[in-house]
Amino acid sequence: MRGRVPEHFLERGAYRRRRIEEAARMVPVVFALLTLLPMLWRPAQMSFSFGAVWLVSVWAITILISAILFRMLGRSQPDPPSADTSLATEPADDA
Amino acid sequence: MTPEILGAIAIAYVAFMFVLAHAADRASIAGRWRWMDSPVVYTLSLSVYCSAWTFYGAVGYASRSGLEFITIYLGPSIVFAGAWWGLRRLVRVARMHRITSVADLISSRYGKSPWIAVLVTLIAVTAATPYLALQMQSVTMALGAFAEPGQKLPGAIPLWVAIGLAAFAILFGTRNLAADERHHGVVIAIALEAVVKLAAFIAVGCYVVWGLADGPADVLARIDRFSTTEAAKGWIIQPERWAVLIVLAGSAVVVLPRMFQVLIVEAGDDDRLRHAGWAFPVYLLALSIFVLPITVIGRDLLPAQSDPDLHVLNLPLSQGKDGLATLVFLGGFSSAMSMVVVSAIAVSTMVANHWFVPFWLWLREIPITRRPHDAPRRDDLRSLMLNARRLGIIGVVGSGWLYHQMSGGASALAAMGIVAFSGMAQVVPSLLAGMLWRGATRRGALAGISAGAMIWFVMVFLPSLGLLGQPQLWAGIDPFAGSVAIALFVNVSLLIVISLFDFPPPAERLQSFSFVNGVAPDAAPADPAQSATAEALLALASRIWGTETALRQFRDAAEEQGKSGFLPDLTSRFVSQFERALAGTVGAATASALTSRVLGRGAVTVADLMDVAGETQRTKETNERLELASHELARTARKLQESNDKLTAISSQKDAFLGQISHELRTPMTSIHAFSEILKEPDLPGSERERFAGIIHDEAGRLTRLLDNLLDLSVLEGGQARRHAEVVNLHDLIERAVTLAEISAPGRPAQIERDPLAEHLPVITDPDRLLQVLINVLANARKYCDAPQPIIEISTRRHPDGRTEIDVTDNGSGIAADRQTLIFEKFARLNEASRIPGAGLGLAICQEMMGFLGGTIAYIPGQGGACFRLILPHLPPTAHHPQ
Amino acid sequence: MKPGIDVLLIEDEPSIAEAIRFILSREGWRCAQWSEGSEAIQQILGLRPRLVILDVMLPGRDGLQVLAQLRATPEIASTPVLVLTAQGGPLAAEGASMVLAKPFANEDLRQAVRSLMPAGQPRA
Repeated sequence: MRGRVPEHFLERGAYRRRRIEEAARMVPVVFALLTLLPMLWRPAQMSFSFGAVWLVSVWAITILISAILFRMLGRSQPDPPSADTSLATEPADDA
Repeated sequence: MTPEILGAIAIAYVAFMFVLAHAADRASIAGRWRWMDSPVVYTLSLSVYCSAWTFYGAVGYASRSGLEFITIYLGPSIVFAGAWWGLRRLVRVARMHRITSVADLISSRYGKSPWIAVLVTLIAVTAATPYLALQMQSVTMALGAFAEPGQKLPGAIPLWVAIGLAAFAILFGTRNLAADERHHGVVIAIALEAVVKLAAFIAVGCYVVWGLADGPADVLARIDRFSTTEAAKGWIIQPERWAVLIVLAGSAVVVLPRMFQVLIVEAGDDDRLRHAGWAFPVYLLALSIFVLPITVIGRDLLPAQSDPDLHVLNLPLSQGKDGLATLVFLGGFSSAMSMVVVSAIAVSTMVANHWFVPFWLWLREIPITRRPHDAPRRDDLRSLMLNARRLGIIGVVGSGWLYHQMSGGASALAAMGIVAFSGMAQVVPSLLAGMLWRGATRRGALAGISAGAMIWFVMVFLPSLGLLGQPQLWAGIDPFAGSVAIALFVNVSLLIVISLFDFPPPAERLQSFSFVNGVAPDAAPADPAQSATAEALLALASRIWGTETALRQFRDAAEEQGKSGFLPDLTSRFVSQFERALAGTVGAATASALTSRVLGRGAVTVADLMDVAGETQRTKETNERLELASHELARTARKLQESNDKLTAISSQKDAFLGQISHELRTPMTSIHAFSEILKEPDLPGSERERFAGIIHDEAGRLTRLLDNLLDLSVLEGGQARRHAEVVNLHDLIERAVTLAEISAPGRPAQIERDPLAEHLPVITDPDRLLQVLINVLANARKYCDAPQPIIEISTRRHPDGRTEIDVTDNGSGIAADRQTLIFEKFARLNEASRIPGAGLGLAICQEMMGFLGGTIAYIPGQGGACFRLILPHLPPTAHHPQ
Repeated sequence: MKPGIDVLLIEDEPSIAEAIRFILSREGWRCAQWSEGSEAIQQILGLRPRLVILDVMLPGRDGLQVLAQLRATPEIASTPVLVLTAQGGPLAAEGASMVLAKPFANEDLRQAVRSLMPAGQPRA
C-alpha cells in the first residue's frame, strides 16, 4: 500500500526506515531456512548435541536482531492514526 | 509432602487466582492498574501456548524423539520474528472488524458466512476436547507422583479440577458483554501463571544442570555419550516430520482457539507485537533450553521404567527436594489451568456465537426492534448471549472431562497436542489466502476446510485415539507427517481451484477487499429503508449491551458527527461501524443478520461495490490532512445545520409564543368574563348562580396556575430563585409525586412499576423543586402515553461518582426523533391534534428546574416508549446562578 | 337530532361553551354544541343550523380548516359563520361572516348572533 504513493525519492529518515522494514521482513525467512535446511540436509549429524547448540545459537541471535530492529522501527513510527474511532476503539466495560 | 497437602496448596493457589482476577476486573472498570495493558502482560499471557503438554510433555517428547520437541517452539518463534509485518496485519484487520474468534475471522472474511463459522467451530471443539482431557490428566498424574507406592488417589480429582476451572472461566470470562471481548481478570491471572511456570521450569532446570550435572559442558558430553547407544536411533531427526511440525506449530500459535484469544482478541492494539515479537520467543527459548538436559539427566539417574513425562517432577522428588517439587507441581498446575480456562472461554465464545445464538434467533423470530411489553428486562438478548457462553463453557470443559473418563486417562492422550495442532491447521490456508488474495472465495474456503478436516479426522484424529489403524503410506514416510501433508495439500488445492472458477457475491467481495487491503469498509452497504431509524438500532444495541453501554456508544457516535443527543444520522459509515461493534459481541454473521433485520435493507449490490471502489480511490488521492480538515468541516457544518434548524424552529415558536400565551390567558378569561356578566342578571335561580360562581372560581384558579408557571420560568431563567437544600429520601419524594400526579392529571389509570428497594437513596437537593419536576414528568407520561394499557416504570440508581439517576419510562410509542430536540422548549406541545389543556410549559419548567438544581433532564430514545432521565448531582450548586 | 337548530356552537372549552349556550338560550335561540374539529362538517350537514359559531383552536382539526371546507361544501356553503378567536391581533379568517375576539362582552355576542341570523328572529 505504502509503495503506491507517488514519491520516488525519500528524505533520509524515511529512507532508513524503509530499509529497516525490509530487514525486519527478512529475519523470519532467514531464521526458518537456518532451522530447516541443516536438519533436512544432514539429519544424523544435527540430531544431538551439535544440533542443539546450533538451534539455540541461531534462535538467540534471531531474537537479538529482531529486538533491535523492532526497537528501531518503533522509534520512528509514522503510522497514520486509525480512521476508526468512537464505536470501534472505545473499550466499553460495563459494571 | 503428600497429595493431600498438595491438593490443599492447589486449592489455595486457585483461590488466590480468583481474588487476583476479581481485583483486576474491578481495577480495569475503575480505570486503575493501567500497567495491565502493557506489552509485558500481553507477552506473558501468550505463554498460554505452553500448556501442561509442554510443561511435563516436552521432556517426555524429547525422551522419545530427541530434538524434535523443539519444533513446537521454533515454529511460533519464526512466526513471531515476522510479527511486525505478518501478525500485525492480522491483529489490525481483526480489530478493525471486531473479530471474536478464529471462526469469526474466517466467516467474516468470506462474506460473513454463518456456515463457515459453524464448520470451524466444529473443528475447534473436536480438536480441543482431547486436549482439555490431557490437561486434567496431567494434574492427576502429577499428584500421583507424590503418592506413596500403592496409595490410591480419589477418582474424582479430574472432576473437581474441571468444576473449579469451569467456574473460573464462567466467573471471569462471561462477566459482561462488552463491545470488545477483553477479559482483564483472566489475562492478569494467566500472566502471573506464566511467571510461575517459567520460574518453576527454570528452577528445576538450573538444579538439574548445576546441581545434578556439572554444568552445560557435562550435559552436552552426556548427550554425545548417549548418541552412540542403540536407544539413540529414535532421536534421529526425520526431515519430513521436522518440516511439517514447524509448519503446524507456527500455524497453531495463531489459530488455536486459546492463542487466537490472547494474541488477537485480547490485544489492546497492534503496537505491542513489536515487543512480544522478540519477548515471546525469549520465553519459549528459556523454557526449551532446559528440556534436553532434564531428559538426559533423568535418563541417567531415574529407573528405566520411570515415566519420562514426569521426569520434571521425579528428578527433584528422587533427590528429596520436596520444596522444588512443590514449585514444579504448581508450575504444571498453572499450565493446565490457564490452558483450560482460556480454551474454555475461546471455544465457548465460538460455540455460543456460531452455534447457539444463531440457532436460537432462527428458532424464535424475536422481534428485535421493540421490546415486547411483557419482557421485563431491557437487556434480554444480552443475558441470552451470556447464558449461551456459560452453557458453552460447561459443555466444553464437561466434554473434556467426559473424554478423560471414557479414555481412562490412557497414554493415547500424549499425542493429543500435535493432533489438535494439525486439526486447527486446516483453517490456515483459508486464513492466509483470505488475508493475501482477494480472489479466495467462500465456496473455495468451505470446500478446502471441510475436505482437509475430513482427511485429518480419518487419518490423524481417529488413529490417535486408537479407533483406526495408522494409515500406511509410502515406505519410509512418517504416517503423521504424510497424512497432514495430504490433508493440507487437498485443502489448498480445493481452495485455489474452486476460488478460481467462482464468482463471489458483492457482500463477500466487499469483505475480501477490506481484509486484503486493510481498509475499513465504511462506505458500505445500501441505503437503509426509509422507515429505519437510529432509534431502532439503539433499541437493538440496548438489548445486547445493556442500556448504559449502548447509550454511551451512540452518544459518542453522534458527537463524532457533530450532533447532540443519542441518535446519530444513519450514514453508511455509522451503520458499518455499528455492525462491526455488534460483531465484536455476537460475531460477524449474526451481527450482519441482526442489523439487516432492523434496517430492513437488502444485500449489498454491485452498484454499492462500485461506490466503495470510487470512494476508496478518492480517499487515496486526497491528502490526509485535507481529509481531516474536511471531516472537521463536515462536522462543523452538521453542527451548524443542527443549531440553525433549532433556531428556526425556536424562532417560529417564539412567534407562536405570544399567540399561545394570549390563547392560554384569554380562554379562562373568556369564561370568567361571560359568567360574571351573567351573574349580574337579576332573575337567576340560586343553584345556577352558585354553579356559575364555581366555574368562575375554577377558571380563575387555572389562570393563577398559568401565571405561576410563567413566573417560575422567568424566575428560574433569570437566576433569581432561592435554593434551599436538604437531605431527603428519594423514595418518599417519588411516593408523593406519584400520588400528586394522579390527582393533578386524572384520566386513564396507568400502572406504575417501581423498585422500592432501589429508591431508598438519600439525596441532597431542593425537595420542592425536585417534587415539581417529578410530578410534571409523571403527569406528562400519564397524558401522552398512548398504549392500550399504560405502564409507567420508575427506576433509580446511584452512580459511583455520586450522581443520582431517575428514569421515567412509559410503554407508549415514544417521541419521534425530529421532535426530540424541541420538547423542552416552551409551548412545544407535541401533538397539536390531541391538545390537552395546560400542557406546553411543563417540560420547559422541568428543564429550568433541573438546571437550577445542578442536574439535567434528557429524553432517552430507544427504550420502547418515552423515557425521561433526570440526573441529580451529588451536591446542588452553591452559587445563586443556575448553570 | 331534532331539526330546526338555530345555532351550532363548535367549541372545545366546556365552560366557554356553557356560557355561550346559556346566553343564547335566554335569547330564545335553540343551541347545539360540538367540541372537536374533525367531524364538525358532518355535524353541520346533519343538523343544518342557521348559524355556526366556530372556535379557531380545536382539537382534531383547526377551526379555519373547518370553515374552508364548509364554504366548499355546496349544501351548507351559505351558512353564516361567527368565528371566535383567543389569539391576540387581527385574524385573517377567509370566509368568516364575523370575527369575535375572546373575551367578549355578552351583549356583543347577542348582537352578533342577531345580526347574522338569516331570518333575524328566534323561531320560538
